[in-house]
Amino acid sequence: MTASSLASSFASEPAPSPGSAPGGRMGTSGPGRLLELDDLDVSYARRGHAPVRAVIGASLSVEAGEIVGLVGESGCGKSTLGRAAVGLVPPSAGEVRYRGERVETLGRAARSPELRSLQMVFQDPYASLNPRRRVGRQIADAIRLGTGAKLDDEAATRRVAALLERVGLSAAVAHRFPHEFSGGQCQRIAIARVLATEPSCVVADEPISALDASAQAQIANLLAGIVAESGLGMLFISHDLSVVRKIADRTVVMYFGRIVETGATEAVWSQPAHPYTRALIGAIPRPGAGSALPSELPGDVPDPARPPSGCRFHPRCPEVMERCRTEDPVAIEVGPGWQSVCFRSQPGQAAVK
Amino acid sequence: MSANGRPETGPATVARPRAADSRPTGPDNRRTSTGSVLEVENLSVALRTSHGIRRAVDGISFSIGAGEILGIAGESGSGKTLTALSLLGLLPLGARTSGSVRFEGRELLGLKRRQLREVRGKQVGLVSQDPATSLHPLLRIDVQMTEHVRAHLGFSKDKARQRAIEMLTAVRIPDPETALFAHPHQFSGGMRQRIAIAMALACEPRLLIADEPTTSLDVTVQAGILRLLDRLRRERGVSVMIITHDLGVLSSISDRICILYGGRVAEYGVTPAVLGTPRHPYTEGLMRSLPGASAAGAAMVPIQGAPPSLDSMPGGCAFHPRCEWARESCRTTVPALRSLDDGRQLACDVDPLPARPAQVSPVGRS
Repeated sequence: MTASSLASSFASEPAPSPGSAPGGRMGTSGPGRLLELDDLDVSYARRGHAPVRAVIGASLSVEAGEIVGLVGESGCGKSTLGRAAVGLVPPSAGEVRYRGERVETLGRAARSPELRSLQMVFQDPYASLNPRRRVGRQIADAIRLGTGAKLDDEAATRRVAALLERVGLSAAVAHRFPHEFSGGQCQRIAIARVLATEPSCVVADEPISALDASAQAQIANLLAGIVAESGLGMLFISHDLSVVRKIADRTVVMYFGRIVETGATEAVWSQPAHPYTRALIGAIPRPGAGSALPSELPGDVPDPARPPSGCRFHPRCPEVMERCRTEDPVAIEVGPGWQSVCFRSQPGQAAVK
Repeated sequence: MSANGRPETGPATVARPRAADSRPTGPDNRRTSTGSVLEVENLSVALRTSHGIRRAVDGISFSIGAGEILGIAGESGSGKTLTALSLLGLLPLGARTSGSVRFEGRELLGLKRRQLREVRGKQVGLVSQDPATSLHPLLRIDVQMTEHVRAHLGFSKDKARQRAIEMLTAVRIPDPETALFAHPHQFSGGMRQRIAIAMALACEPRLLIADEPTTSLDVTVQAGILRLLDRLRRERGVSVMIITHDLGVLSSISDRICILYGGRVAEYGVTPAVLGTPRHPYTEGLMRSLPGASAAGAAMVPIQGAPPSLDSMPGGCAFHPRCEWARESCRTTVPALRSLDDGRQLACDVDPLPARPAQVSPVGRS
């Protein structure tokens, strides 16, 4: 089973009142949420130029036992959002809260113990693991640093063995170095190291994109299994919509710095409300579909230094209206817990269908 | 699953119809029957590794007809990229090739460098996975796009520039006259890949080898590149060999498909047949592991284990350690590649594959 069986955990939340949310904000803050991004802005300063706004007014939340999939094209700001969510880049406005506490950007000082259960899995395991340290030692480091447990060597070995077996590796590989493993195995080790800290919330940034075809399904299943079993919350960032559809309970679609649609995965997939979501889904080549070529979305993601006026998607939007060129759309509640930032979206339209 | 079945109902959930009596029909058949542009026969590539000499490509044969798109599929270590490089004499030093590669009737293996130069870039174009490796970062697009046209075709500067503009227009780069004066970093990844394709096409090659041309790109951009390749083969009759591990890409664009595993051909035939009713356990496993193949809510069904490396290539059938139907003979004997009734070639002795139960078992905690 996957985490989608836990979908009920968010279906039971009180549905916000239909209509437009003020200021284009999506999602509401409330108690019981593990990770909350509230109207988050991230800008990158550039010498001699106006700063580039990589993330604009993003609000989302991750609850315990839930996988939230964040999808979008490269350069849309999804990785920046993920890094800001764990405090690796400073927000320029808005804030990130973890268990109700503000996530301070990581600096030279040690991270406070309360925040150590907020962890991250990176895309390239060869880069995130230390190439010169045995994998068992790296996992043991994470146990000591992440949980503060004072373990003797024997206890650490036992715990490392259990973690390696949890991610589908043999306990005997603890003495090996990262280069002795394939990409998929390395990602398992990186996941074991994250699990060693006993996390409550994990941000996984393209954790399967660099892996072989068969390893991708293995790692995606592993992550979904961990969430279902331990009840941690996960923000799963990926450009691969078909995997997100498979394991995420909710899907958040980002375009050019803005969240454009968010909702339950099956709903977003089966009747996407935003034209960009429709374009993304239409562009996926379907295996076994015979000779049908995927549909093209003309144009490229615009230059972040010169964002288009009005709706940021309007230059590529197949359903563009005059209004889209000048006005910025706000989030429309198209269904319970389902929002679309588009002038063409109608409040409650999903319920009518 | 039937060839035109919906992707949501994967091969795992449907009774497996046998394609034994259905011959491939339509344009694919016509294209493959006559006039091969490229014929590869019994190609082997041996590499020197720290453990001795290893055969990375082991007796591969395939052909590409005019205007045909052949897909080469496989994971890392399957020999797919080495196969492509060997066609162009671009293998790393110390690699040894044997067999035969005939391009329009001319044997390419063993050609001298000067002779190869007439083929490379002029008659056979190469598009690599990363446009950053095929474009020079410091040179303007016009320099990169006219140099080989002038060298190969003897065009004047103006004529070569005209050709470059024509090609950039063909790959739908907006405002090609201005684009010529730009540097590669001024374009997005998708545009850079389109420029790399335009460059590879500038000498009007008969064959385009595209090694993972869309792997680093977003799906929206990928869709554009696939449509471009399809248009080129229809309008210009270019043959394309597209190498990727993405079966979704191959089902949408390729006429025939060649599945490689451990340096050998596992299954080879018309795309809808091979992907619709896979007969090799590896092909079947790949199709089953796709996210759309399993039922909603059910875990994906990955192939267990990892592809073998050159130094740990299993004996017998290279796939047997990961194959759920492996028999004793699979461990010792390399299965011979044989032709089936529907024209496909198959290297597996477990045939027909045992039918799957209708419901996918909840595997997944790998």
